Order: sequence, then structure tokens, then C-alpha cells
Amino acid sequence: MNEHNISQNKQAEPGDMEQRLSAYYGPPLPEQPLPPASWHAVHHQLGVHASAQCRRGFRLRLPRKRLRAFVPTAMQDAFARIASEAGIPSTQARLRYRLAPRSHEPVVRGSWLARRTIRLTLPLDAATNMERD
Amino acid sequence: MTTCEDTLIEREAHRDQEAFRQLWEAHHAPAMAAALRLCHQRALAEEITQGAFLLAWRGLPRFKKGCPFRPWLMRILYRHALDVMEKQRTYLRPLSLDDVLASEVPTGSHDHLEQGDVQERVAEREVVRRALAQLSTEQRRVIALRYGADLTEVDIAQVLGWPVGTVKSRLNRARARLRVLLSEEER
Repeated sequence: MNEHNISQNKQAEPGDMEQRLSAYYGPPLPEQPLPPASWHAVHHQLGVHASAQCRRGFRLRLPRKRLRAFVPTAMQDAFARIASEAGIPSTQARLRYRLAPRSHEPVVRGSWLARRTIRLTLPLDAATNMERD
Repeated sequence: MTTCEDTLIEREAHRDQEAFRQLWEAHHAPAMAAALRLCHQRALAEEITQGAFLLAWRGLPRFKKGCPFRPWLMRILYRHALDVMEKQRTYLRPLSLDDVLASEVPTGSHDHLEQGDVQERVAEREVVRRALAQLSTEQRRVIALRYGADLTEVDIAQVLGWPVGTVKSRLNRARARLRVLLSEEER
């Protein structure tokens, strides 16, 4: 009985444990060539990754201010003048401009959260035509 | 590393996919063997190998010129394999007969093995797998690299980005814990 308990409490021998771990992982395997389809999967991913990187790079390189300044300056000045003539003081800092490719009409919006900001959205086509004229 | 490989790496760094294919041809088979030995599952090993090559492709601009490519790739592969295995919790999945055969004996040469022998080995590996599942992530990582990749403590430190002393202490604690767990499994 005592002998039984002793054997139960005994931990695995260090050498034994090492052997069992080595057996678990096994010896180094010979080279395992993969079918050509495997390369095609990687190749496809390379293309996806490269184009994603290009897109990401383009966005990162484009400064935020440049995006905002996309509305032509002449147009921004015109809107600022209209607002000024309508009696809205210091409008330049409060006007936000945006060009919307799918919209057909200009939109003027205020905001409940930022009450002092006026957002002007112009249809992209109209803005392009105005600039051309 | 051959001059030819140097040229390939140089071209690959400039996003030359044909050069990268040649590096794949030269290195994917040993990489796959290393991944398979670590994870025991052929499909997962293939996924790990592909993932490691994609990471290598992404990291190639940072590759030090003149250094051998294979050890660099293998470090990426080991790190990636450990991440994937932890993410997929492979240590919780019981080993199948196919897994053991695929990761142990070259395909086609296991016909002569006794069915009983194989089942015994599966059972023994299952005991070890259950014990490994109870280790911490860090302990499982050092054990995998030590016994599944035969890396030295210095190499493990390089792969995992830990100080050598940390590797040693984690390895010792992992071994001590495994001894207890394996003894408990046998009761």
C-alpha cells in the first residue's frame, strides 16, 4: 500500500519527460513539397496585398487638409461672400465644404452638436462644370 | 547563401513576384516540414507555411543584405506557427491517427506499421497534448521551440524576442509543471 502511494506521488523522471516531449513532436521531418496550387494561393495573396498596400499608401500620403481643400478656392470664397452678405459674421472659420459625387442638388446643413458650423455639400458634377466655366 | 539567392532577394525586395516564386521553390518544402512537425496537421501546416511566406514578402524591405535567407524565414515561420496554433487553440484538439501518421512517417511508407503500435503512439501523444494544454501560452511556446524545432535557448530568445534568462526560466518552469502534469495523467 505504502509502495503504491510512493509510486503515485513520484513525478515523471526528467529524462523520461524529455523523451516523451521529443516523441510527441517526433524527429525532424524530410522536406514536404507542396502542390503548385499552394504557390498559386500565395501568389494570389501577394497581388491582393500589393494592391491593398498601394491603396493604403495613397490614402496615407494624401494629407487631410488636401481633401478638405478639394472644393476649389474660388467656390469657397463665393460661399463665404454669400454668407457674409447674409449677415453671418466670421463665416470663413465656420463653413465646411464637401463635394458629393452622387448628389444632384447643393445642400446646406447645420448641426445640433456643432451649432456654429455650417456644412455645404455640392454635387461633384456641378462643381466641375462651374470650375470649367 | 549563394549570389544567385542574393540577386533573387534584391529583386524580390523590389516586388518582383517571379523572384519570390523562385525563393518559394527553394525554401517552402523545409518550411512546410518544420510547420508540420510543430502542429501535426497537414492542412494547418500548409496554411502556416503560406502565411510565413506572405509575412516574409511583406518584411523583405527590412531584410539585412548579406544575411542567409533560410534562418530569417524560419524565424518568421516559427513565430507565425506559434501565433496561429495559439489562436486556433490546436492544443485543445485531440490528435487523430491521420495527424500522427502524417507528421511522423513519410507518406506511403507506413503500411508496414502495426495498427496497435500506431494507436499506442496516438494514446501516448494524447497524454502529452493534454499536459501541454494546461501550460501557459509562454510555456507552450518555449516547449514547442525547444522540442518541436530543436532550437537552443539563444535561438529561442531570438525567435521570441525575449532575453535568454527569461527563456531559461520559462523553460525550467514549463518542464517542472509538465513533470507534475504527466505524473498526474498516469494515475
